[in-house]
Amino acid sequence: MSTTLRPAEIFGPGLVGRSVATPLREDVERRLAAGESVVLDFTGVMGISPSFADELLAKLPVDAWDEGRVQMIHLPRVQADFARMLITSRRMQRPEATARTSLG
Amino acid sequence: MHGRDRDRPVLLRIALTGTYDGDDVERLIGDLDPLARLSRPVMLDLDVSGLVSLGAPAAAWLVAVVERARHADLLAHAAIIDSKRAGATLAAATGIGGRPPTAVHGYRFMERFSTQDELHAITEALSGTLAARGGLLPAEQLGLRMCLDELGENVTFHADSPTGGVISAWHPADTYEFEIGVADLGIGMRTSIARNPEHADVADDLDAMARVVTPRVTSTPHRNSGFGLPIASITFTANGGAFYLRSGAAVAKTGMNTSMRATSPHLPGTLTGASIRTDRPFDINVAYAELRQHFDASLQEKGFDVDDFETR
Repeated sequence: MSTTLRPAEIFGPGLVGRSVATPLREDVERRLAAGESVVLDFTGVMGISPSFADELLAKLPVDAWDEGRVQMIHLPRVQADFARMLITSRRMQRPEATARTSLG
Repeated sequence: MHGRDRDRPVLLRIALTGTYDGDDVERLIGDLDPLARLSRPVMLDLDVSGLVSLGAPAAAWLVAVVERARHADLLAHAAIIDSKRAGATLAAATGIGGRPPTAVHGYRFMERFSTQDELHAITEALSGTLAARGGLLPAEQLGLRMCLDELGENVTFHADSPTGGVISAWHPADTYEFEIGVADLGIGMRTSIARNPEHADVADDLDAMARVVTPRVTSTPHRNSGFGLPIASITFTANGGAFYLRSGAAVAKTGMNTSMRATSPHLPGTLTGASIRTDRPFDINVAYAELRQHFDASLQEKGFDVDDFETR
């Protein structure tokens, strides 16, 4: 089962603040734990702040990204690149940090 | 000295004179030093007879220092000498007695915050007001709100300030530039960054400042990302404005003359400030792109291919 969540419908075009992102991340995590796939559709989003992106996207389980169980779409290019950097940065923070390709 | 004498309030008279805009905030920090380091009750006379102007970082610091003294129950009495225009505005902002605020030639904002919810509400409202006054585009307003939020979150997440923080803004009438300031009298950057075991060896305030402006450095790596200050700094500078960071005995400035140096007096807590030009683009995506580029380059320097780490 796949669920599409549209943050702009909840928060409007500006996604700002770590504490604002936390409940949404927890919702995504619950769905992932229940075996769902989640598509984060950023249609209508004008901008995402570093804290919001880190809290929502970078703190999601790395394997969920790697296995394609969570995806982000329609985030403006520069911000999507930055968000992917945050995810990578979190990945490297892990003690067992290794390149994705060597994770198999 | 007997304990009873130590508890007896003494008179503390501080005169603010001239301009405290931009770099002159350093002079204000010096002038307010006795109040910032207060350890016994005082009767404060804040003489603003000679005050010409007070920039946003300076106003934020003044309000934060007064609030800290009040919170510590060290203000037995406080009064503003000279209720001119500036005096009345300060009276309203600091809560020190005075006449009601009169009209000012420009827009001044000062607000205290302790929680993230309070911070988010303030930055949303303030960015909207400044955008309307400066004619910013919706994306620029959002970028400004994000930068203000990132600076404010440094207070709520890292400062351990019993009195929270203060956000201020100042937009003189008929100008293409406004200032913002964020102040707290918390633990300061050096103590904060040393909480991260990777940075427990921080040597002094200057070393601490050099570390906290580096991307991905934070006192709480499992909670925060360490990108907030770099993003704000890059965005303000790219706009053609300036960014100012002061904590302990260290100060950093970016803009026309970028520098980081040791200074005095010691500032308890942290003060950030920025000037924003409304006649030039304000684009946070510039910072996103620059930091992404910096990150990719640092990975390559270590012999990695970013594609090996990148999520799909």
